[in-house]
Amino acid sequence: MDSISDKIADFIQRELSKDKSQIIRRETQFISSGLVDSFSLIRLLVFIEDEFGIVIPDEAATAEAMDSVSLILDLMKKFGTQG
Amino acid sequence: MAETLRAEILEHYRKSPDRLCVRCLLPDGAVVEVSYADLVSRGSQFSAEFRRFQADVGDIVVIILPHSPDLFCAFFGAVLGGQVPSILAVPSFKLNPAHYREELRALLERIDARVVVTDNATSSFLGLQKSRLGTSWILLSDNLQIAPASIPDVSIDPDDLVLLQHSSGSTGLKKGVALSNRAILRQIQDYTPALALGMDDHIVSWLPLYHDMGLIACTVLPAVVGVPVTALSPLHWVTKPASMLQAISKYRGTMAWMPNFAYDFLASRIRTSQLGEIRLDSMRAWINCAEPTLAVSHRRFLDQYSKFGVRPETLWTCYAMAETVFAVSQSTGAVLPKIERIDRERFLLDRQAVPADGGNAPSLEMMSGGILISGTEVKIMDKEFHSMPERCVGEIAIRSGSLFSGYFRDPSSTEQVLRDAWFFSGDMGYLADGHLFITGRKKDLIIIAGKNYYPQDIERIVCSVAGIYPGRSVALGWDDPSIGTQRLIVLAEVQDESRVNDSVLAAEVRSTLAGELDCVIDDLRLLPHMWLLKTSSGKIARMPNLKRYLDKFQPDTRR
Repeated sequence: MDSISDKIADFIQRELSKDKSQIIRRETQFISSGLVDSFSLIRLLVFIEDEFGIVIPDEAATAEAMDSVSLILDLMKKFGTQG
Repeated sequence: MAETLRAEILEHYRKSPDRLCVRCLLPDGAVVEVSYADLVSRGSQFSAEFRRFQADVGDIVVIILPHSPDLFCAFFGAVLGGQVPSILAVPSFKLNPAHYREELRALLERIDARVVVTDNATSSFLGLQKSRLGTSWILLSDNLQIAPASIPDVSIDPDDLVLLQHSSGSTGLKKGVALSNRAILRQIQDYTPALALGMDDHIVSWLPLYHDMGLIACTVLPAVVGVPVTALSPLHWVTKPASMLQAISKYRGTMAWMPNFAYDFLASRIRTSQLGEIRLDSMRAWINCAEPTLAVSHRRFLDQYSKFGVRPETLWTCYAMAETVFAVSQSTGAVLPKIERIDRERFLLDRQAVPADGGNAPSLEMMSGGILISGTEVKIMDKEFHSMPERCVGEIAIRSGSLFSGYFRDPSSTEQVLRDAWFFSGDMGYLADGHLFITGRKKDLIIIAGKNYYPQDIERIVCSVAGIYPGRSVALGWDDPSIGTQRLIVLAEVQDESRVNDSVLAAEVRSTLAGELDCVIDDLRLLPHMWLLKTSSGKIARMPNLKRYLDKFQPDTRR
């Protein structure tokens, strides 16, 4: 079964990345490296909510705080247990 | 009407100091209301600090602050003190700080800015370790004393500059549009009746203040007329677009300005089932402006939001630019934007906007930017500067009482666009039945989600990457109606042909561009040398290369 990390990376690579040939790894900074634009982040937030039932609150859902799968996992850990 | 922006603000302050000027909705959920008394009080503190740093009447003050009450107070503080404010975007975390700092230094020196006001976070990000950057003093708003300051006692002439607007171009090369008190107030005088803007209105905006639509339409205009604004952070809106609709519902907003892409973004990215009990029927105008306006985007928006109270007659359009302060034309509920189909072949081949006959011939849907606002004249010009009749497509030239004073300290750029008091916009369009239709924006300018990019900036940065052939790349904006804005295509020749499929090189190009211009490429193609077409004069030709790209790669239109 895919890990959470793999599912998120796969979604970013398949649905959001401008270059499908670039592998999204756990530490890939997919926003600051110009692979994903900030207008796509809302789709990522919806995916996380639908797939894992975790809502990342407004003030935490910034492009900077979601620049890698690893950072997203930190956010999910932080807010997933508070809901 | 008073003769200066300062006098207009002070008039509201004296008559109704407690009246709401701006309500700032902050990302953490906090709500800060700024009355005219607050604006003048905090603004006077800023102005006193600017003076302490030797910024006198007419001196430039650059403001780089995030969405906050201080952003508005610093701006109006400079206005009160006669200093000339210029708001720049807060640098994105994606940008290379050292590179941005050097570009900023170059800009500050060129415009001789006395003070840069910013906050600790931005200063820290940029690595500003001293009290000066180049010849400009750095003022940190977080450290600003809260001791009361008296309202600055200065004398300002109506023809004095009141603000400097920088929008397009990389930071170091930005052109500053210089606007006088007279021009700003004339625009407000002419634009207010076109909108029937009154004190019962309430503007809701997520627009950045470094752009004319955010600064003029959603900040200066309402502050002068006495219309309150509920303002959201642009960065916050991108990830939570529903926040704007919730604010409209909660505060009974009546007007909003947005670029075209936002209509599609709101229509496609929000699950309306989760919006709850919001009502949007208080809105009397959603004004589409700042990038080409598409009727299909209005239809998508209406499909999604009519059930919440959005009515078709509230979908207005506007054609605007910083050089005329803001609006040139406007459609309203009384004069709806005119939507028509024109013959595609006649448009492309003959530059004629001939109504389509309804047969099978290919046609294009056009939506007008409305009718000219009072005090504004428009001519459609051919290449020899002759005025053209209705339905001929040519360059839009404008004569207006609110024309800018020129590009700041750039007489040669100013001379290129002014001719016998007419401003040559570089935009293409036609007139029909009193309506102005825009068919293409400034020559070569790429507009993505309301943000302007010069292709030359993109090409210079792409060609700076080792492995890309110097001088042989092209940046293209391709209109994509499915997303309501343009896509960025970059075609770049590689020095070593074996690298056309090199993902490391492609990643380097993307990250360099993101780091220097905060810009994301939709489709990047690395190509062998001599793939790109050049003109007979040896320049890379954009349109032929766009055609070649479309023919060769037949790009996916989904996003």
